[in-house]
Amino acid sequence: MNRLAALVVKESRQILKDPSSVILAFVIPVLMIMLFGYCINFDSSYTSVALVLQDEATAAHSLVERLTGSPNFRCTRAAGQPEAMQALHRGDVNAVLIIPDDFSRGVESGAGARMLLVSDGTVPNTANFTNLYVQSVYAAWAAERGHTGGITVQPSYRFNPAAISHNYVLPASIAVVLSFIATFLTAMVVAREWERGTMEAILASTATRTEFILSKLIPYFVLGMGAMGICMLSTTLIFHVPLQAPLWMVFAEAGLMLFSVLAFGLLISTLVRNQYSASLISLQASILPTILLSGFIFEISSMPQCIQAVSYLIPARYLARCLTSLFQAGAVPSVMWFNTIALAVSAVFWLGLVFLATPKRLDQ
Amino acid sequence: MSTVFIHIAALIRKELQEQLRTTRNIMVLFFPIVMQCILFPFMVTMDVTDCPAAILNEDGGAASLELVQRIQAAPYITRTVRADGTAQLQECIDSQDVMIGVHIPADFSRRLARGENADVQVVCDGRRSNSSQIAAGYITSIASQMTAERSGANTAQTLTVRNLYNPVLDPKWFILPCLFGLLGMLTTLNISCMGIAKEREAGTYEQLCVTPMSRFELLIGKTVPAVLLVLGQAVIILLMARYAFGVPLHGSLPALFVVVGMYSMSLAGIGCAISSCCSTQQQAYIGMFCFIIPALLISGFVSPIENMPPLLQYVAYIDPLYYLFTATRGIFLKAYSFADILTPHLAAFAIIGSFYLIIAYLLLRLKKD
Repeated sequence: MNRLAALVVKESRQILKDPSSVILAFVIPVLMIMLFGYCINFDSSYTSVALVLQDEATAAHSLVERLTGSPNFRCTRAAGQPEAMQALHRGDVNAVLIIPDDFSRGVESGAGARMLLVSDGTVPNTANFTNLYVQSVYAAWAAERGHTGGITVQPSYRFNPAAISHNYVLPASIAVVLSFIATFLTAMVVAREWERGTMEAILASTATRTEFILSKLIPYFVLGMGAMGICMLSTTLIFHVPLQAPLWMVFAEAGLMLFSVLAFGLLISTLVRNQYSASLISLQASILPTILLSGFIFEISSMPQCIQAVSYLIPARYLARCLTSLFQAGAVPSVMWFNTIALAVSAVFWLGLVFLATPKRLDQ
Repeated sequence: MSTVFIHIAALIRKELQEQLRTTRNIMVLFFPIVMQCILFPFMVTMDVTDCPAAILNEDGGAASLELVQRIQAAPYITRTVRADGTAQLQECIDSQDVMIGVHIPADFSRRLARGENADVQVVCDGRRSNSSQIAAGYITSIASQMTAERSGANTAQTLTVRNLYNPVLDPKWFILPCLFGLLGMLTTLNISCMGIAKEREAGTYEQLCVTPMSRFELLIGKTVPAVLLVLGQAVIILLMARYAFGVPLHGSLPALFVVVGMYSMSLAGIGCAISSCCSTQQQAYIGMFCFIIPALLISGFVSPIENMPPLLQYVAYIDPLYYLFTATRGIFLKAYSFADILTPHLAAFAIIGSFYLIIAYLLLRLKKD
């Protein structure tokens, strides 16, 4: 016990000597939460459309008014079709809407009218939004002129009724940010010991494997929980995201995830043994996989089975589910049980791997 | 002048030898690229293909039954649960058993029969509002198709939608050109930023300083190898994109490599500038992280730039990733040639790269004394 305490004190002093870890734990979370909050917005989507209006009659104009009146559009009138297509090619607009010269005549005579929407498919997400918006504005306009009974779909939201983007993006972002920070906190530490030769000194000492791993985990766990506190403060104070569950639950789940990600970082630095490669591997293995597989941007259940299997290794996935539920719905038993057990299993898995990978002797 | 080239060539050889010295180093450089090229394209999904829905039908009339049948038959609605009341509908959503709930009110069929508008309520799960909004879109299109079929007259007016450059909106055609930027960023920054910090920690930087080489030559000696290795990685990504995923390359191939090379140069400049402020590898590592996440989020890869606050939209104009994404997507899908990418893309890389290299040079000179 004394040995462990001594090792923890040594590690803590080392952390305090180089302020970069402390900055990583206490300053970076605020910046990250603000970035996620301001950059990721799925609710109010804008799209810019170039209009090629070859028809100046009333029916065409009433449709154009409908489009320009919608807050989702930034409509510009193009001089002609070639200019509009050029703007699409350069990426200045997301789509071109062409209303041909026989449009109004076709509408008024009932013979039928055609128009063409050409979208930029290079960003499929934006193209989807644009197509959907133009179609819905067009359908509303056509329904008003048609006067026949139609079915209107009224979307509503269970939880987050005003559909405020921050309220569901930020709880999931906390999971992502925390998992970055925790991985980065530990990805370098054991590699540094190897590089500087101090690892040999520790191996030669009487400290056991468990004591060594705990001495690396405990100080960084404290830093990680500090980072979690900062994340919570920024989420609730800067973005006013309401919390529907007791605070201890949020911290307990986050703490559970910290074991997995801290262990993941330790595993990298234990296996690689030099800081340069540990840095490259931890960046590759954590940033994009965590963002893509935590389920708040891309739906995991829509991915192929083998990719879904990979996503079970990402602890942020479970914490993101927990936090979005805790923040908006409270502790829903079925959601909480599954994800809490998954986080615990994941912690045992990664800690076990670190334990196996940590050598007891130099010649191992 | 010729000594400069000899110095730089020697530095480049030294750096490449070090990077490619062991099989392990080569694996660390190239194996993740192959793995990520295989995995990432499948992670970026735009559709919600597995959408269970709960249906509460309070009506029971013919029209409501038709709507329910249409929803059940829709390809992405994988499973439907019958709810007997609003409480049960909400419970299905709360436990995340279903993604959306469809509530058909009691007067639905009667209103339609009278020729009035009838409402259907779609309840989305606010905890996964992105996915459930997409799912709600499916219900909307089912409803509008049913409306159109019930009243034949409206179908005479048609809106034809054509997706240029990517006709079926395949997300793989979007992500693979983006991978040049995402993967190239990590490699370049690690070589330039961590590389200099590593030499400092190991003491080899001091050794280089006492050679006749100038600080400027040392910076170029880190930048060029990074660019060369990133171009090597780009060949792998290009082969995967063309032959494994069938992404068409309509534009100019040399333009693609010039863009990736210039992009990598600009990032190496940023990497050198970060590491010239740091004294240990750990600091360099954290500095790198502080650049990567904002650069990634602001670039428009995760969420479109148009939705961001105006201030951040301006920041995107100094983000190399933003230029790289538009350039590579343009070269692959929009048949961009050199003329299309000269401004703003290549110009931006040149300005950003030289700006940060100068900063790094000044900082390194400052530290010399």
